[in-house]
Amino acid sequence: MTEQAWQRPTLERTKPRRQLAANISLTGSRKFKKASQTMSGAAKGAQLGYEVSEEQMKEGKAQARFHDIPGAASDLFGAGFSDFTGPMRPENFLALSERLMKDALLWVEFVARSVQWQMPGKNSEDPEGSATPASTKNTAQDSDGFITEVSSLRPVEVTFQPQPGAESKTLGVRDLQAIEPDSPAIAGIKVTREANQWRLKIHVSESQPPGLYTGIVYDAEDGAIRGSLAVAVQGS
Amino acid sequence: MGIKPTRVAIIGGGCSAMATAFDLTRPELEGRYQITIYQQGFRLGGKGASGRGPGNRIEEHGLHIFMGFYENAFRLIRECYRELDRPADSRFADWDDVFKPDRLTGVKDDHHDGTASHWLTWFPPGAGTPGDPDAPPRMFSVKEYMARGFQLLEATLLSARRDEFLDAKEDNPDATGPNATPMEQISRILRLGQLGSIAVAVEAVHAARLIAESPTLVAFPMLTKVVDLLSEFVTRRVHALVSRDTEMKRLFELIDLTLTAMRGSLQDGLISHPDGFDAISDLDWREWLKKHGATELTLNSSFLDTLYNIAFSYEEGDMSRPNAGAGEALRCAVRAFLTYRGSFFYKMQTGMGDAVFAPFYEVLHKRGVRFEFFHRLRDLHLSPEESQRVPHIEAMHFDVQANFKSGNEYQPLVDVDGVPCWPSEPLWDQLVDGGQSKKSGVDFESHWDSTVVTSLKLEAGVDFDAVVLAVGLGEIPFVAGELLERFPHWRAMTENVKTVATKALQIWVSEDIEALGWRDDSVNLTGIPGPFETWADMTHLIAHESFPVEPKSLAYFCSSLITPDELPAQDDFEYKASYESAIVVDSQRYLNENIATVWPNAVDEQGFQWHLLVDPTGSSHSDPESSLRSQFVRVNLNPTDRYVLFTAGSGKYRISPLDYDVSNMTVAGDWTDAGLNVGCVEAAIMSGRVAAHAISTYPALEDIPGFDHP
Repeated sequence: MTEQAWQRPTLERTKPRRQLAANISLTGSRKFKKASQTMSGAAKGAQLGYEVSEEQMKEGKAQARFHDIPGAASDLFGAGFSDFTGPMRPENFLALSERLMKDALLWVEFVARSVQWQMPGKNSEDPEGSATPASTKNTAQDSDGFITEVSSLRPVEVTFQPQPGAESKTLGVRDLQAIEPDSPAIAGIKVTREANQWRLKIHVSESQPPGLYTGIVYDAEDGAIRGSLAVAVQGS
Repeated sequence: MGIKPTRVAIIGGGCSAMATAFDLTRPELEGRYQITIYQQGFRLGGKGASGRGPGNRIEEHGLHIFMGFYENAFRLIRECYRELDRPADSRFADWDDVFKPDRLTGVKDDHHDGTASHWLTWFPPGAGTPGDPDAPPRMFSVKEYMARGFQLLEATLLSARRDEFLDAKEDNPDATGPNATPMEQISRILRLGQLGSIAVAVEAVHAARLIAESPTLVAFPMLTKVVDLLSEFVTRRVHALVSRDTEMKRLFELIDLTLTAMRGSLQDGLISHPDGFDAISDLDWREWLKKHGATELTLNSSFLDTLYNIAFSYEEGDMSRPNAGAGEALRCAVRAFLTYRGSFFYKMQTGMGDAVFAPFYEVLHKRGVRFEFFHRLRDLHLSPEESQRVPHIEAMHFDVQANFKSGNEYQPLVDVDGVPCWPSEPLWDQLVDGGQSKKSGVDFESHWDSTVVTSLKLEAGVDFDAVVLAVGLGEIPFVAGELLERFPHWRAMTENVKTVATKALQIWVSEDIEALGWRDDSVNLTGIPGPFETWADMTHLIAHESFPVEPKSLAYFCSSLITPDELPAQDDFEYKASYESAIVVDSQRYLNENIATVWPNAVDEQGFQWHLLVDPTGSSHSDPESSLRSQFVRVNLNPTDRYVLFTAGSGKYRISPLDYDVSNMTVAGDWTDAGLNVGCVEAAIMSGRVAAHAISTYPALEDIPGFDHP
């Protein structure tokens, strides 16, 4: 055989693309970008959280109505959760519902953080975020009726997204949790009302690790979610 | 035109070979490839070959059930049937006449008190149908998996109360049918005063699903926390109830398994790992689950056993040595459970040979593919070793096993009630000295058969240009010795990618399964006491056979077979015979001692009632052995028939059809590295398609669903 044998063609690649992240970006980010044209990451996160929460509440209330539990439909959120392992009985139903509401809160936080954390340019391009350079104190008019006041020696970025109508409620803020489980929460956020303005006072200690911290703004009277608050602490 | 076609020799006639030939002869390639398929013996099919025996009964290598995630297999089969263009009124005119949804499957479930029952699971229909040409499958992403995982978990939780579910469906179909929301279904169950704690689990899963389905879920590290919360919840709430409630135990095992897989994926960084799930392939599936906190209950569950059983994942067939690579198992599990379209399972309405290989044969034949039956590859001869140059196959040597009376083409199919089918034996009257061969008991498919009427040498550039080596893995050491010598990784592949022998029993019974004592619908059940761990009711096939006395039920049983990895010499004619005798004894014992676990009415104090077996010739038998010998038993010992395992750590030794060790050759089969890497039809078809890509760059790898998969 002097003639050269037939040869297989040169291929563009010889391995599967197994990296999951490549697949994810094709679906998740494309939709996300579209959404982010009109909504900040935190706002979108909060909205998703609300959807989850509302769905849970709706279903919980439907269950309560179904089982004819007095007061359950309106007061599921605030009460504590008591353990139970027995079969479903009306007296257990409230505990179940409460548990679900607590879970729902976790979901809300989770979604809010998730969306915010992965948002492209989250530290500089969020139109509704207020970037705060390193300073001892900085005040920003975030939204109608709300002022955020941050004291921090580290550069931070605050995103506060109240729900419409939140300004007329009695508000509270849960401690802001980090994605990293070892990071301490940003606690002690004060919410005060002065004239017709709500003022959120946030103190970020010097030792606070860089990262994204998020939490829920809630109605102190009925526990309903009224908004979300996110603080991105940047490295020094 | 005027372009000289590339002559491609495909060695082997199983699923992968059909796929390669089908893709290379597509009309859009305008005849660039001229294909010849060389097949040992008289029929196509490889491990999927079947034949028609006495009474036109279907005789299979084993149990073959297609799964709803077989995107490539269904795509090609659907295209094949379209091109076949059978008359609309013929029995198997189109693919969906042949493949029917089969949604009920089950596993034997052992209880804490030593008793056992059967847990039957009903899989809800998935959107679309597999291989749908107009709607490509969903993207294989974690987002999809998470969403579908939770969705399926809900359905499975509900199916644990299947009886109540079905009862309520009759009461109020709107509230429990496929369109009912999970909450409607849960409400109904709550109304029945049951499932208190399960409802909590369902609710938690439902909440998680809402999150997973949200369009922007991409921050996967956080999912660890979610999954941990769910796991903790399930452990605290449900585990406590396990000892009191069988249903709770089943739920716990399933939820724990699912959540552990999710948690493990996140903890091991599979999300961003360049090797995807292959990153965990060095661990056994059970070992990996244990590492990520699965409970002992789950690790020892029947459900987990099932995942090993269906893939014969036992080294040397020994049930005490389970071994399945975690990466491959996880990939297969997520594809099977989370990406199926239409039905979870599809059952063929005829033999696999008739359903798949006869249509492929007819279509390929019409496209001009040549089939050289009775050609057994003896060896591949490589070009001399030269530096800087990739060697090529210089020549191939074949044993020609038979000559034909009429011309030079064997007509392999027979007509059974208008359906082209494969026979179980060669069509002797087409063979020169066929009568003599039949009388002497020649088995052309046997590895231990040495019948040769002539030898054939094919040369590169003269008789062929390209080679697709599509024989079974077990055959490689016998036909590719030079490659094993030249390339250490080929030798390593044959030493590390293991195969296992399997066994099959088919029995035709004069009573239906209800009369035999089975209390549910037609089912596929695994985990029953051996030596045949899996039973599938195949009664629907009886209508396509023609016994003088029609049986009322038909059962297929299968299992792995304990044999050493080392094969005996090719002149050890006793090897196969000894296993064939042993299988008859095993089958007898099985029916006497263990069949009562599914068919309690089939036995009396003496054991199995042998008169229940229906002889395909209409004869009756007085003793158990002759009665059993009238049924169909089979041991798959031939190297090429052995089932390919995916043991821990073996994945990295697989050779890809895209590897370029030999410049004019590629490989195909479910033993190659082609995306799925487990022993199944889909993996073989995928490999065949990837081999076609290696030869022609067609189809694009992106158009082979599942090839690019984590």
